[in-house]
Amino acid sequence: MTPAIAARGLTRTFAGGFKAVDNLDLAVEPGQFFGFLGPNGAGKSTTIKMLTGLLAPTEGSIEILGQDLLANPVEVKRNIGVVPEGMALFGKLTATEYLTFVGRMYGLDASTTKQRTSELLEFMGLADQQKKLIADYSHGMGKKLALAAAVIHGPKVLFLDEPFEGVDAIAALTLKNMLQGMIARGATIFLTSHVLEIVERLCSHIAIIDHGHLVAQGSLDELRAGVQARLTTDGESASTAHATLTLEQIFLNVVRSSEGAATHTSQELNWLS
Amino acid sequence: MPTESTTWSAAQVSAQYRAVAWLRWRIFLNNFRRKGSTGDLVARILIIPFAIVVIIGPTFGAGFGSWYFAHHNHLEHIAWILWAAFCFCQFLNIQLGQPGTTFDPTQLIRFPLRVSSYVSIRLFFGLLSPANFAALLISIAVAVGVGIASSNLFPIALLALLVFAATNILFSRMAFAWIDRWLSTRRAREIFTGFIFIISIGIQWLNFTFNPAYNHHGKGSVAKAADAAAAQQNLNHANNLYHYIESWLAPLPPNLTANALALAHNGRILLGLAAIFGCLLYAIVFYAIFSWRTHTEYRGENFSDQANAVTTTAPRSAAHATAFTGTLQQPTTTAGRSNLVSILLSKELLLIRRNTGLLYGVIFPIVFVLIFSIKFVARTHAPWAFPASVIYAMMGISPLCYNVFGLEGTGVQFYFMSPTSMRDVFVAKNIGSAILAAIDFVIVYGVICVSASVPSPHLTIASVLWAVATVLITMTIGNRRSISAAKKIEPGRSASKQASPLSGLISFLVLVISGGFGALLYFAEVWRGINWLMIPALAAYAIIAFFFYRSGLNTIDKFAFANREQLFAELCKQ
Repeated sequence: MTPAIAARGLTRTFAGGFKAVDNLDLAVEPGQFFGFLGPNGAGKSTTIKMLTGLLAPTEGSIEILGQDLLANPVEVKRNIGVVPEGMALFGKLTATEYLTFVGRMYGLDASTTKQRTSELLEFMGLADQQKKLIADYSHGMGKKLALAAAVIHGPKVLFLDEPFEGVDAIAALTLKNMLQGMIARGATIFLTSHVLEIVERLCSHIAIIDHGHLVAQGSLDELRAGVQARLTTDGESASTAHATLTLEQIFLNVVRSSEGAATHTSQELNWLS
Repeated sequence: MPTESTTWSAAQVSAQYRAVAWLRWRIFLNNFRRKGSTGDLVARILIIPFAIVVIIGPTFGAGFGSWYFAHHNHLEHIAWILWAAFCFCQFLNIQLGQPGTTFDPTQLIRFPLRVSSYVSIRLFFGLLSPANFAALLISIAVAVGVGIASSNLFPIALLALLVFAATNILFSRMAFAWIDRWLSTRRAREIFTGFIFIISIGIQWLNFTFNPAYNHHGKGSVAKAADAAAAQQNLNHANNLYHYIESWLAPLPPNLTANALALAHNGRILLGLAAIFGCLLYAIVFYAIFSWRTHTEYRGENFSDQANAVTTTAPRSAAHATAFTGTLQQPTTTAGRSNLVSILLSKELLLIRRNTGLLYGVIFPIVFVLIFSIKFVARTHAPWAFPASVIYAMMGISPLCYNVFGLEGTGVQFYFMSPTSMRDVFVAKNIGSAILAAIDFVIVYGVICVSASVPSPHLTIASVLWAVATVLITMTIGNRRSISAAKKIEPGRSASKQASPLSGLISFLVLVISGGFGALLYFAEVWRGINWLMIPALAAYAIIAFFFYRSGLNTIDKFAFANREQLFAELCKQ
């Protein structure tokens, strides 16, 4: 089966020779809810930007739904939706104006755009705020609007960079249900989040990046088995090794192994009350 | 979730163009919905007459000049006018900036736009600038001037000049697309600022050297003859220089266009058309280079300093943790007011040191004063030169006081989160500005002393009092405007404005009114012989300004608190 998202040898080097992402290989199957994790500065947002055509890779290839992103950017972008790191909203528009603009840019006709705009604003709980300028929105409202804009054209692949950041619990539940509904209908979702509980609950497959390198990739069960095996080998107690590891434990173990234990000494800030 | 359509039709592409045009229009309209935006609109409307004069003057001049050259069968000299038009348009581009800053057009790359559509949209978003408008008007004026002198030349003149206008405009679009790329790093911004600085000084020097208005030898027939001889000498120098470099200029668009007209005038129409085609080739090359740049943007390119500045996170060492602890062991909450102000002032001075654009704004008037005094004051020994120079130097400092948070972005929230009063923040910022003003004042004094004569103590004291009063009034109003009409400054964008239009206008008016008051007192003394008036009046003015300033400071916390959302909305926007 053609992967929904396939990246090979993906590298991004910034000025000064710093490699934010280094030789990354990634494969996400259609219909997967894929969690992409990593510590701050690991290269998550850089990867998402490259996968969505917002940032040119220095090396490597990207295919989305079998189409080469660099060769066919328009075809790829038609089929993907993105909630980027900075949300990319136009502060001087109202929510209705913004969604109308986005719908038209994705080639929807006027009546479909109008209908979907209305439905999305209602769904996101923004219907009573639709005449307010986006600049006056709270961060959470902005996130909901960015998500509405990302799905207005019915994308087959959705890229979400911290979509739940600043969203209230009720709205988060609504969004989670919507995303799971998309997965059930065959869409693929690529999600980054620092809220590991959400990733654990939603994602079937996970990749962990650290210092620009992919350090783990697989289903949650595969990652759990791998970490448990490592803990057993390292001589951890049987109870620790065989208990059901949470994603947080898996993440910490993988990242610490990747960076080396010396970098994570348990410092205490004694001056804190 | 399936997508709606399977093919990307021409209708959808044209819908994208309409959507972007509509976006621009809505953003323009919605600008007026925010508090303070009506004032900016009024400021823009008030600025229009000045802009018209700036553009219409050269347009009429170009039309008249081209008529003159065509009438005297010197069509090749129209190249001079076209070079001047070219330089003028680039000058306007630098001074007024390119339009399209209502949003960053590179945001559009996330949509399924064809690269050709993206290039067209990027081009479209930069077309409606004052400089491009001037380029078109001046070119048409030249064609009309030629047409009036020789009506049968008008069709080819219009064609040639429209091609020239397109070349001129595409050059600007190309150059600024690359400049914005280069300006993505601080070092490049500093080099660019230095370059503009040198160019500006050069223009001022040429102005003072060759402009007859600054080179009078006095009244009387002998002096007039000397003026005429000097003017002729300058003209000869310019002519010689032009002839010297003419062979290099010949293949460039202004000369190609002028030659096309001269050739057509001599009946060599085909050669004239070939010259126009040569100019058109330049336009195509400029467009191709612009297109190359926008292709790179389309492919995804990170402009930000932050991305370029990322370095691998070093592991936190115990030594670092200790140092960190040590710093925080002195709780800032117990620091006295003067200590807080000095901490804030240290930060301000750091920002000033690292802000080349700001230093440029401060230094530029001084250099102007230097050239002015060497070329003009040294000869005339005009006593008003010192106060006039002080007023002029203030023009560099004044606008900076109207947008003191512009470069701080989201960092402005820190002031509201930390145990600091906004009064202290403004005192520190104002001291920073006052230090710059004082430095400017001292340098101007030194320049006038060296190049002309030492200003009288009477005039020096009066100038100090005037400057103190004006700086205090500027700061009082500027502090309020910095909160209520903040403008986020993006150093990496050549089009980024330093302050809101209304703030710019207020800054100018304050200087004009305050300067007018000072001038009134000065002329009352010179013409009416009221020698006792100026210093007491200016001292009273400074005292009133001080109370005005203090009263403004006393209520600044309340004002900042009431308007903080507006401040954050502008400075914390993505």
